[in-house]
Formats: sequence, structure tokens, C-alpha cells
Amino acid sequence: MSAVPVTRQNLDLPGVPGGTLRLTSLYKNRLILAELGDDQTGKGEILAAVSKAGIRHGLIDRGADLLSKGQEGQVPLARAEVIDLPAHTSNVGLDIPVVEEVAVSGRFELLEKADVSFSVKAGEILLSMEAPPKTVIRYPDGQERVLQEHESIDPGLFSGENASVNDEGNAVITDIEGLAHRTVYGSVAVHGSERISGIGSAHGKQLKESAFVVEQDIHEGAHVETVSNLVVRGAAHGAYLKAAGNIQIAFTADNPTREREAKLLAGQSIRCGSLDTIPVWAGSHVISIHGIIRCDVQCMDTVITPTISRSTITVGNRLIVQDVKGNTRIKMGTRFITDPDLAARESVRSKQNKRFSDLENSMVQRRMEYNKTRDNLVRQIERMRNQTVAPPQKQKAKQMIIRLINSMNESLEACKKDFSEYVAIVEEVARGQVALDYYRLRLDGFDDPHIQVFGTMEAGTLIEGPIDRLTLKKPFSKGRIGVDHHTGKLKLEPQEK
Amino acid sequence: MGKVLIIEKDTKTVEVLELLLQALWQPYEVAGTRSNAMRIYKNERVDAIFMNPEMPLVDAKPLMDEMEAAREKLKRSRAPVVFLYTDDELVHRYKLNELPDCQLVKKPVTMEKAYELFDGLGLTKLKMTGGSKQLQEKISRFESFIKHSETWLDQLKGHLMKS
Repeated sequence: MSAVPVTRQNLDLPGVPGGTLRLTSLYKNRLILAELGDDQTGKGEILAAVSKAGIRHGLIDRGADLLSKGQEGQVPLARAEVIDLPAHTSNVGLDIPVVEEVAVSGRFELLEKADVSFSVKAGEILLSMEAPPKTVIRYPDGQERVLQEHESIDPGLFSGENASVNDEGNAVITDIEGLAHRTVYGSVAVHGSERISGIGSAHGKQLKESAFVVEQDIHEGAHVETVSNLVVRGAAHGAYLKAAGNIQIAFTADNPTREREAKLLAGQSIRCGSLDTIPVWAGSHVISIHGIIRCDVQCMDTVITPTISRSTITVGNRLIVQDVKGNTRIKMGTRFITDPDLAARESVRSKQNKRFSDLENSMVQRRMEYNKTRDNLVRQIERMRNQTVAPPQKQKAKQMIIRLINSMNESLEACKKDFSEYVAIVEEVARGQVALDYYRLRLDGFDDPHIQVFGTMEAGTLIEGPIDRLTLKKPFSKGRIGVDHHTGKLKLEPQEK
Repeated sequence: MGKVLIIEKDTKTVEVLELLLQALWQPYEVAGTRSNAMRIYKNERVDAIFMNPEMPLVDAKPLMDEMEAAREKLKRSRAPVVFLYTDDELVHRYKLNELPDCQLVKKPVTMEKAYELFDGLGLTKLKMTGGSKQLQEKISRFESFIKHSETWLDQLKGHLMKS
């Protein structure tokens, strides 16, 4: 029997005077066992204690549950895990640097410079490959060891319409001049644009296969959908606007007549003068230059605006704001944000995986049948050649040989058919996997959800974090509202004076 | 990946083994009777067996013989067996210590002891995913099977036509 290296440590339990959690680490943290002292305590306290000790990965939920329910003796609490890290790519022409400038300086007037139309020229680089995919072992204390570096994936898996891989094979470039966008699943595309002076309900549903530029206003009841970006040089009133890429509106986006269909949906970012009484979804950023009032905004990455009033803001990564007023409700953290297409994509992937596995099983089965038939065929041939076998039996063997050859032909043909579908599905599965990996990697990057307040957040503002919520009893001025790494609870950090 | 077969009714021991196997992502089955144990042994690939030889409905020695017979019939390699016992006399009476690929562990089985046992049996290794390389290998295996089979069949047909 092997001698497993063991280290032990006792942790104090927060909120339990004298309470101890005994940890036993096996094989340098490959598995961590935990045992409570005499005291009983909640799951939150147990997780806070281990988090404080630096154990934050590979936690076994059931172990913490059992301990909090009074389980005696040791239970497994955390384990090392083998993780496949997807390839890392970086946007080249699709970032909004001014947002970072405002996030640091609080100079919201700079947002005027924000441009999410992403106008590009042919040959420009849109994204580049950074790190290739790899498999690592991640220990509960966060240490990682690379087990295997994989070959870099084909950047072509990220290229959408009018985009292709450069000659060096390390970046995706545009094939045409036009407007570019990147979806939450990582693919980049470029489209030429179509222009119109203004648009309203009389135009009916506008479904565009190109980028769409509206030179003046969009009026009540208008319905515009585009596979690319939508640029409005005027304002948008009471309209349903959906873009697979970005929506840029020069002035306000509002809904004065309370049109039921009015909504802004952008696969990437939305940038507008102001937002008033309109529901908003954005896969990346929401930039409102003057403010947000009476809106329900859902945004995966960053909402940035000087003022928010009487709104509900749901944001996956961060909210950068000057002032918040009027019983606004803010939810932050990735658990509140899911791309509406995710379920459909996962369902497609699961169907593809099932088909893939069915085809593989079918080919294995056919190969077995083929080999079995071949063995039988060889026996019949030997029988036919055997001098001692009587002619009638030889005749029978001959007929059997013909049948077996036909059967083998059929098996082989069926196998070839399965194989061609199998190979075709491999690429679809790879593309689907890369898209979902990109989506998850991006969400994983939002590991420090926070609100940066440059002015004042009024009393009465409700903030919901990953595991708790609070209502401000008094105004909160200039500071950061984040999530405590140890407890996962909301943490108010006023700016030091 | 095969399964770990637990032939035990003592809830405490089963709980320790189960919790640890779950933490290690190891598939397992628990059997409380001899017939159940044999059914699992015949139908599944079993990588290791943890057995309480003192269970009244199990009768360790005949069960071991039955498993050995099934193993030979199914042409499988022998799975290591860990006897979890309390009574030393029973061990001597059945000569459990003389059985091949067996080890004896006196109860109680703690979590640490169980981990050490699993480690000795190679059950603590972290599993790696296949990745694209394995997939490419699969594709080329199927491709080469089709190619070789077609060639073989064509040659055979030609040969048979001639003769």
C-alpha cells in the first residue's frame, strides 16, 4: 500500500467562538478532507473559513452540505480537477478604450467619443489568437500545473461572414470594408451597409442581411432586425430594434407612447445618448452618454452612464456610474445574466453530440459485424477449397460466399455513409464547442463583479449580489460596491479620503 | 473506465467509500447480496472489489470462487479484492489472506485509510479528457478500416473470379 503524504491544519470558524474546522490535505492538496470540531455551523461559515485559507477551487458542495447538517467524521471538501482551458483570443478592432478611460477617471463626458459602429477597412485584423488551448490540473488552492498543451485551434472557427484567416494563420481579418461585430460566442463578421433616411411603422418589419444606417429618426412602431450593426444618426422612439452586433443611436432611445413591442436588443454593445422607459439587452456593453431613466437594462459585461434613475439594472461584470436615484434596483454577477440563445445552442450541441456518439457506435458495430462476416467468409473459402468436401457441400459454400460478400459490401457501404456524416459533424461539434467555450471563458473573466460610484447612490437603492442583497439605508458616496472574495457577500468600500 | 464494486451492508463503511468515490469521479455499484454482486460482476467491467466477508447473505469464499469461474469464462483480467473485516478468526478459517490479488483491511475504514487503499489500487488518478488528438486518431482508424476493407474485398472478388 502506498504512503499518502498528509498535511493537517485547523481553521477558525467565523461566527462560531472557538469553533474549528479540521482540514486534512492528501497528496499536496489533491484531495482535502474536512471535519468539524464539536460545534455545528452553517455552510456559509464553512465555505468562508476554507476560502480564507485560500481553498477556492474544486469545492465539493455535498461535502459542505453534509458538514453543515452535522455529519460526523471526515468528508471530502475539495479536490484537484483536470480542466480543459480553451484557446484565448483577443479583440483587435472591437474594443471600446474610452470605457476604460471613464472607468478610471469618472469623466463621463468622454463617453461622447464612444463608437460601437466598428467601421473597418478590408484587410484589417479583427481578432488574434493568443494562447492555445491546454489541459491543466487545478488544485483547490488555485495552483495550476499544465498537463498538456494542445495545438492551436483554427482561428477560422471564429470567422463569420466576410471574415477570414490571415496568411500567417494567427488572426481573423476582414475581407471587405464595412461594419464589424463580435457575438457573445466569439465569432466575428463584417457586413456592408445599407442606408435609409428615416423609418417608422409604415415601413413594416425590416429584416436586414447587412449593416443598417438610419440617417434620421426611427419612429414609434418601427421594427428593425439586422444580422450586423445598426447605426441611427437621430433618435429612436418606441421601436423594436434588434442587431446581432451593435446598436449605436446618436440621441435618445425612448418610448413616449409606451409601445408594447419597443425594445433594444444587441448581440454586442449599445451606445446611445440616453435611455428612457425602454427594455434593453446587450451581450457586451451598454453606454448611455447622458443617463438611464425608467429602464430595465440587462447587460452581460459593463453598463456605463452618468445617472441612473428608477431603473432595474442587471449586469454581469460591472456598473460604472456617477449618481443613482429613485429606488433603483441593481443585480450584479453572472448568475443573473444568460444569453437568450444559450439554451438553444446547448440543445443543438447536445443533439450533435448524441448523433456523433450514435454514429460512432454504429460504425463500431458495423466494423464488428464486418469482421465477423469476414471470418465466416474465410471459413467458407477454406471449405470450398478442401478436397475432402463433397461437391454438393462445395456448391453450398459457394452460395454462402456470394451471400457473405454481398453482406460485407452492404456493411461497408453503410459504414462509409456513417463515416462521411461523422467527419462532417466533427467540424460542427468543434465549432459549437469553441463558441460555448468562448462564452464561458468570458463569463469566468467576470470574477469580480462590482459597481463603481463616482457620485452618490441614494438611500433606498437595492443591490443584489451573487449570494445576498442589501438596501442602502443611507446614501453611498464615491466608492466601490463589490463582492467579498472569502464570503461571496456584498461589500461596500467607500473611497478613502 | 470500469466500476468499483462494493459488497457491503454496513452503512458507515458504505458511506465513507461512496463519498470518496464520488469525490474522485469513480463510478461504483453497491451490492448487498451475493446474487446482486454476481449480476454486477458479470454485466459490468469491475476494476476493484471492496467486500465485507462477514455478511450473512454473501458467504465470501463461494462468492470468490463463483467470480473466478465467471472471470475465466468471460476472459477478463482479475480485479483486486479488498476484504473489509472485523473478525480475525474468519480470515484464518477461510484463508482469505491466501487468495490471489486480495488484501485485508480491518474496520473501521476511515476516509484517509480508504483514500490510501484507493491510491494503492490506482483509483485516485485524475482522468484526462481525450481532446482533439484522440478524435483525429479515431477518424483515421475508421478511415483506414474502410480503405483496407475495400481493398481486401476487391482483391478477394478478383481472386474468386479468376478461380
